[in-house]
Amino acid sequence: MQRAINYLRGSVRLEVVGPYPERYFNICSARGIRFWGVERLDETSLRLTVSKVQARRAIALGARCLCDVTAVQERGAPSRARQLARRYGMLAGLALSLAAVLVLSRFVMVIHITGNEAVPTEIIRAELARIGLDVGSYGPALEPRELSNRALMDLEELSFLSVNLKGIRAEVVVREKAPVPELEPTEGEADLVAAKAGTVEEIIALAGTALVEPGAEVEPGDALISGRVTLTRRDDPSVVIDSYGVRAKGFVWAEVEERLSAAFPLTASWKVYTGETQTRWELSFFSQRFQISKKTFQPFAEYDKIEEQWALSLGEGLELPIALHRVTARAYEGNAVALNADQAEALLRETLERRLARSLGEYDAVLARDWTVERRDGALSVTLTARCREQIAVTGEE
Amino acid sequence: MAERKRKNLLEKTARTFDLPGDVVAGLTRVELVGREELYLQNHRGILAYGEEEILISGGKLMLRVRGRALCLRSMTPTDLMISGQIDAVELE
Repeated sequence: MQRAINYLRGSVRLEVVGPYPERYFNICSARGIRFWGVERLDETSLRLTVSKVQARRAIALGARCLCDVTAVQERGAPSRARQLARRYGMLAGLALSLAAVLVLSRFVMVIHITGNEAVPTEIIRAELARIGLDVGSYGPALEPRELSNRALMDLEELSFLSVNLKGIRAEVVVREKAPVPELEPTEGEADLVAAKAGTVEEIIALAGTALVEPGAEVEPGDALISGRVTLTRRDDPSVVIDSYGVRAKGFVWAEVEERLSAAFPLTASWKVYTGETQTRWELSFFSQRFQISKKTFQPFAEYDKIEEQWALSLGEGLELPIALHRVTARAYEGNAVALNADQAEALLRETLERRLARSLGEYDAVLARDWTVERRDGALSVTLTARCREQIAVTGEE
Repeated sequence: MAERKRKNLLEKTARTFDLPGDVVAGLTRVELVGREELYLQNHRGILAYGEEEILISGGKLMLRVRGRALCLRSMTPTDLMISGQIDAVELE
C-alpha cells in the first residue's frame, strides 16, 4: 500500500556525498522530511529516496551538514506522466479511443434476435430496420416499447417481441404464434363434388345421400353425395315425409387418368474456368463500403463473383458492423455439351414418378402407367399417363 | 543544565510512580521484532551508519546495532526503523 502511495506521489533518489553523510539523516528527520531506501555506497556517500514534493527542501538541507546532495533519478507517476505527455501520437490515439468509446457506444452495433423458428431472422431484422432499429441507430433515441408494439403490428406471425438495449447490443426476443388448426365447418348444407373426371368405383356416404352409382362417369364439379337427406315412408319410399340439410361426408373412389409431362434440353452450357482471376479488397463500416485495394477491378465478360467476409467479432457470434471483404472474379468460358439422352430420360421418369406420388392421397393407388418419350426442338420430352384409383370427393360450395 | 535536571526529575518520577519512562520522561524505547527489524523511539539521531553497524544516540545512552545488510528503512524526528540481519544490540 505504502509502495503504491509512494508511486502515485512520485519520489526522487538522492545521492549524498560528504564527510559525515549520517548527519544528513538527522537533519532530514528533524525537518520532517521522510526518507527510505537508504543505501551506503562508500564511507563518504550514500543514496536515499525522498518524496517528490520534499525533494527540493532535502537537496537544500545538504549544505547544512557539509554534504553535496544531487538528484540522480526520478520515479513514480508524476515523472511517468511527464514522459508520456511528450508522446503525442500515443496521446492522440488515446483521445481517439476515448472518443470512440464515448461516442460509438451510443450507437447500436449488434442486433441479436432469438426465439424465432418459422419467421426468418432477416424478415424480423428488415422490419426492425424499417421502424428505426438498425445497425448504426442512435441508442438513446430509441423507444424499446414503441419499437416492440410497431413491429408486432406488422409481423403478424409473432405473438411477442421485446427489444432490450444493452450498450451497443440490441437484444430482440420474439415468440411466434402457435399455428391455428384448420377447423372443419360443421354447420350448413354442402354437397361432395368430384374434383377430377373419372369412373366411379366405390362410394361410402357417411353423411348425406349418394347421387352416383359405381361405374358412373363423372366430370369435375359433378355432385357425388348430396347434403340433402330425405325421409320417406318405409312401406312406400316414393312418399317423402320430410327432408333436412347436412354437410355431406364420405369417400368416392374413382379410376382417373393423370397426365404429367416434363422436358429436358439435350445440350447444356458448361463453365470452363480459364484460370484468370481478379481480387478486390473492401472495408465495410456500418452500411458504407470502402475499397482499400489500389488495383482497379475490371471483371471479365463471363465470370463468377465470389465474396468472402471477415467481420470483427466480440465472441459468441456477435459481429460488429466492421468487416473486411475480399471480392474475387473468376473468368470462365461457356461450352455447349451434349447430354446423354438415356440419362436425361431416366432423370425425367424419376421426376415424374415423384410428382405423381406427391399428387396421390394416402389410400390412392396407381393401376397402370404409360410412358411417351419424344424429342422436340432439341429437348427430350417425357409424358406419363397413369390410371389411378383416387378419392375424388371434395366439399363443394354451400 | 535546567533541561537535564528536568529530565532527571521526570525519570525519578516515572520510577517512583511506576509510570512508563518512554512516555513520561522521553526515554529511549527499543523494540526488536525477530532478528530482522528493530524499532527505536525517542532517539536523538544517527551517529554512524554502515551495512554492518549503526550507531544511534539515545540521549544518556548510545545504541550500537551490529549485523549484516543493515538498512535504515525509515526515520522521523523521534522514531526510526532498521531492517537486516541483526546480530547484536549493545548499549554504551
